[in-house]
Amino acid sequence: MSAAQKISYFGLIRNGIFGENPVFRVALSLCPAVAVTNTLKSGLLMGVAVFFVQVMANISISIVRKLIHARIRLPAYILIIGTWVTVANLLLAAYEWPIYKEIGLYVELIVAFAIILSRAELFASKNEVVPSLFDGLGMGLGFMFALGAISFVRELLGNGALMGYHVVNTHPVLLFALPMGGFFAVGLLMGFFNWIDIRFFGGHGASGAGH
Amino acid sequence: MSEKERQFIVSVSPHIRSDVTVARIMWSVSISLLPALGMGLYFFGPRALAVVATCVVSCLVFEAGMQKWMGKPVTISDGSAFLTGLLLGMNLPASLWSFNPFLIHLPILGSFFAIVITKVLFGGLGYNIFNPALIGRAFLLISWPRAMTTWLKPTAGLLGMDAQTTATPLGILKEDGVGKLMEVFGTRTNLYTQLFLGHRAGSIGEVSVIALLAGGLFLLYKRYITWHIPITFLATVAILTWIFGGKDPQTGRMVLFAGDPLMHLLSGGLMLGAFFMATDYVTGPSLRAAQVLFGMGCGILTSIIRLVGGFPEGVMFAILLMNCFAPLLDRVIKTSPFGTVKTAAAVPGGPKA
Amino acid sequence: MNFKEIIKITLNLVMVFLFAGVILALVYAKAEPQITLNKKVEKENALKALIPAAANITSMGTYQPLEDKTAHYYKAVDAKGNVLGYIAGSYSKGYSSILHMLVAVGTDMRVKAIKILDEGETPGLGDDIHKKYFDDRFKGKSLDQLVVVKDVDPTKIQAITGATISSKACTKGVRAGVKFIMKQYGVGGQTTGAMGNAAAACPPAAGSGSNQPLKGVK
Repeated sequence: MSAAQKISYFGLIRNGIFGENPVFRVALSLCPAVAVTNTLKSGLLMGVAVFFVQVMANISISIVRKLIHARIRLPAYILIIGTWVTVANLLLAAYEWPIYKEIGLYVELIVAFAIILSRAELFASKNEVVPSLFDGLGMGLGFMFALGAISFVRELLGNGALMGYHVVNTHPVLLFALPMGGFFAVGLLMGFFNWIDIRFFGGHGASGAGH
Repeated sequence: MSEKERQFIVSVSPHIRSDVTVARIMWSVSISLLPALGMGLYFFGPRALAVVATCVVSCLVFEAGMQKWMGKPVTISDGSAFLTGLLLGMNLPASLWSFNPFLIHLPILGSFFAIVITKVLFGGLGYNIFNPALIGRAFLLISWPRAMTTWLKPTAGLLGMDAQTTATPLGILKEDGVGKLMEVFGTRTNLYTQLFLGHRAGSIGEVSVIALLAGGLFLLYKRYITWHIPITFLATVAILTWIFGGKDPQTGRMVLFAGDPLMHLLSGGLMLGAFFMATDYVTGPSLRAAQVLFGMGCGILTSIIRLVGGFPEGVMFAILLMNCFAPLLDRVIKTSPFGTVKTAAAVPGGPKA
Repeated sequence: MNFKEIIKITLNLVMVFLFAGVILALVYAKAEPQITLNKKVEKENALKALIPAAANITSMGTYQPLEDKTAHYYKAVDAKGNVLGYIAGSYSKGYSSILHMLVAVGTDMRVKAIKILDEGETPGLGDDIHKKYFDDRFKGKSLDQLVVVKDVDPTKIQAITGATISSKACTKGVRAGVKFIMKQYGVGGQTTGAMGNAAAACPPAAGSGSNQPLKGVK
């Protein structure tokens, strides 16, 4: 994308949530989408952590994009991402200890999430700070939305609860609380969103995105 | 010549898309399951009938409904959905029916998972990777482990309505060891006889070995299945459980070559799995050599799960795991098309003659 | 690659490292005390919950409940310094994981309470070991009562339906803890009324005193 091309900020956010949703469309970072989505709370908090890292990484990489030598851009990006991940991890440990105990291990793994590095390489390294900020917001929200949807389905079916409160008074489908249920939830939701896309939006979302 | 041709028709997968053949095989397999079903109903009473009937009806309804919804021709008369429902029902404990009023829906949910998720979403008959009935059962076992491991005591008599529960022979063996098993069954001869006839706790259709053998031999005689998968499966289990199945009653340490292969062959769902589910055309390999490997793989996995795993019984997971490998096994056992030079044709994507 | 490029790459990396270092140092300085506090509070709460009447719970050392696992054990005293009981950490091998638990033992060498800290047993079956209904089955049991049975039997440990292995593993861990505490503070493996080193440390009157918090625990 050249700088002359007009970029709609709203379009960037919509692209992150629908057009190129990290989990449901691009199928990146499926590991956390399965690992930390057995309850709505941990799924959403993981989404928040990724959102924070994605936005901060996009901004900082966009700022330094012209200073970094092309040969070492990937190590430099990883270092920047790693810094923000550590910050997120420390903040979580200090101020949300119960949550940290549950998802701390996975928060440290954000540094290796494909979605964050791919946005750094594909977008932030080629665009101004403000569009990068909005791209990060869009992708972060998209990821949060995906994890929220998956964990909503899994906690409701697997535990008969939402945010820890029991809402269904029957035997839950334990499969969805287990890791393998995560795969089923991701697959079924992917199909569901594809169906919505084809049914109501003519199916452009899947192929309509830029790259 | 005609013998050869018949073998060819029923064993290599492209031919099973022909409707006549599919229907004939499916209904024949269903009929060959009837003796075992009859024994199950005899031992577990009306509850067993209710479970199996629910599975069969809901499988047919789900298959027809999904095909209608997707605008495809409705093909429930080919018997594959019926067979899936029958196998699923026979793989469930009869206690599912009255275990708890909330759980009446379990056979229906299992049928939904078997037909809709495992079969229709993968493209329908011929495209499913995993055996639908077994996936349905695995789904139920993982999701409701307690209900799925509550076994009714076999009470001979069609109208037996008492709902005493007990553990399966393999369950007793896993948790309390051989000593307790002998305590329950008395002598070893009695144990084998009871297992052979089916007077034991277990899934509805798996208990009666003699009835299952009758059905399996019928299928072998009609050449709907070949010996390759069932015999290698059973032989591998027998050998491995004989070598590694023995345990010192005092220390609990493994004693080599002291296992009880007969007990392992007769118990659990081994006979049902080996003759009726591992031999599924769609989810198993079609080449003979691959089938031998498939059967051995099933046997090894079953023995590992039974002897060192957490579950007392491993036939279901063994077959499902080997289902993944079926296409690979067919590919590994390469055959060169008739009349081509071997080196060129054996490599996919290699130089064409 | 010429010399200029090498310099640029080096400078790039140094700058990134520097900025990253500064940011991390600032956040760490702010967060670290809170994290240490969180860890300490968590541990204290877990111990305190087992013997709520205790004013002070101090670690007395370590022992090995499993071959390669080391656990701490603690002494709980009230405000006057009377010994209320002991807490032993314990491990045991479960159905699909290593169980980590705390076992509180009264001065009468009976179990006061247990708490499962960490387990990875089958959800819906074995992981019931951390539920209250099961943990309550250990209350008031002496070492020879810590035996798993399958039937309803309030004097023994009734197994969780469908999870006998996890129940047995849990009981094994509790036994290891109780055994160690008895070896350390009890006399000759006796249970009721045993006044070991603990009793020697406090006068007989404290014996009745030590029963008070038991009632408080419910």
